[in-house]
Amino acid sequence: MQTPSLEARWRYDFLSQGLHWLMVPLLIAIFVVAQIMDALPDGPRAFWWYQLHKSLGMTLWVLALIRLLWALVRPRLAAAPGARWVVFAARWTHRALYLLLIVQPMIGIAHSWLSDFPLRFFGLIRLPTLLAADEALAEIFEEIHGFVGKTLMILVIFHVAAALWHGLWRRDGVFSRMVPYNRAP
Amino acid sequence: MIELTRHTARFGERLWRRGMALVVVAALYLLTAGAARSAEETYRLDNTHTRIQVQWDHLGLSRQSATFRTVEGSLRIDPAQPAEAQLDIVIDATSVDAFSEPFNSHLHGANFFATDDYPKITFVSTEIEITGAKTAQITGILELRGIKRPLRLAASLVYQGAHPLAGVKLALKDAQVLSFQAQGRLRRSAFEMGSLAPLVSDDVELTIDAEFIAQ
Repeated sequence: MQTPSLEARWRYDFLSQGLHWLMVPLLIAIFVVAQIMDALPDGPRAFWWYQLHKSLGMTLWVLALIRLLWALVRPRLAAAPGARWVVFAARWTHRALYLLLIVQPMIGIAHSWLSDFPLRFFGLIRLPTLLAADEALAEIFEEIHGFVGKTLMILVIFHVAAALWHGLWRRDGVFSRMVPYNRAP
Repeated sequence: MIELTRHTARFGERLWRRGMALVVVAALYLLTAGAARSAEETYRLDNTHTRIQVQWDHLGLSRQSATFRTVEGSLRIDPAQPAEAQLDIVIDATSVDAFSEPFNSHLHGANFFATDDYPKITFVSTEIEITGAKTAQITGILELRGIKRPLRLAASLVYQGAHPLAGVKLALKDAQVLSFQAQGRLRRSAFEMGSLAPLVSDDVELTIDAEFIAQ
C-alpha cells in the first residue's frame, strides 16, 4: 500500500471539503427555518416551514452519514500541531459535531413520527413511518430536539471561532486544510 | 495523576468508538427498515372509468349535476398501512360538462370555474383515517379557483385485487386494480362561486367513483 503523501495527510480531500461546505449553508438554513416555524402560529403556513425544515434536515442527515463513514475509511489526517488541550478540544469538538449532526436529525424524524406527521421529502417522496404516534413521548422528543439543537449551535459557534482563531490569529495553516483550491503552506 | 488522565483518555476513546458504532447501527437500521417498509404501490387513476360528479339543487325545482370529463390522479398506498396512503387528483376544469352547451359556457365563465384563469382543480390528501374494514375518511386540501380549502371525503373501498378481466383479456393479465366510491360536500361560495346562492343551493355534493390501476 502506498503511504499517502504529507500533503494528502495534512489537507482534507475534496470529498470531505465538499461535504463540509455543502453542510454549512444547509445547517444555517435549517436553523433559520426552525426559528421561522417556531415564531409562526400553528397552521398551513407554519406546516410548510416545518416540512422544509424536515426535508433539509433529512438531507443533512444523509450527508452527515456519508461524511462519517468516509471519515472512518479515509487515511487519518495528521493532527494539527498545538498544545495538548487544543488538540484534545479540537478532536472532541469534531467528534461531538459528527455525533450531533447524525443524532439530531434522527431525533427529529422520531419526533415527527411520534406526533403523527408523515414525512414527505420535499413534498415528493413519502417516507414510511416506523413509530406509532404518542403524544407524551412526542413532547419529550420535542424538548430533546430543541436542547440538542441549541447544543449543536453552541458547538458550531465554538468550531467557527476556533477555525477563525487558526486562520486569522495563529495563521498555522489549519484553516486552509478545509479550503478547496488552496495550497498547503 | 498522569495515569488517571491516560486512563480517562482511554475510557473516552472507547466510549466514543462504542457510542458512534451504536449511532451508525441505529442510522443503518433506520435506513434499511425504512426501505423495507416503503412497500408502497402507486396506482394511476383510470380516466375512462372514473366519474367525478357535482350535484346541486336548482331553485327547489330539481337536482342538477355536472361531471368532469378529464381527470388525472394517483394513489400511493401500502396495503399494510392504508392510513399512510396519499391521494392526489388533478381535474381539468375546462372539461366540466353539464350536458348543455349554453350552461357549459356559463360554468366556464368568471362567475363559476373561471377556466381561463384557473384551468386546474386539485385535491391533495393530508390525512386518511381508517373508519372501518372498507371505509375511510379522507381529508385533504381542495384548490379551486386558486383558493385552498380543506375537504373531507367519506370513502369506501369497492374492490382491490387482480383485475376481474385478468383471465379474459391478455392486456389485463397482470393488472392490479383498486376502486373506491367517495362522497363529500362543499360550499361553492367558499370558492367565490356563490353566484345565485342560496336560490341555487350553496351546498354542492360531490360524488367520486374511481378506478385505479397499479403501475
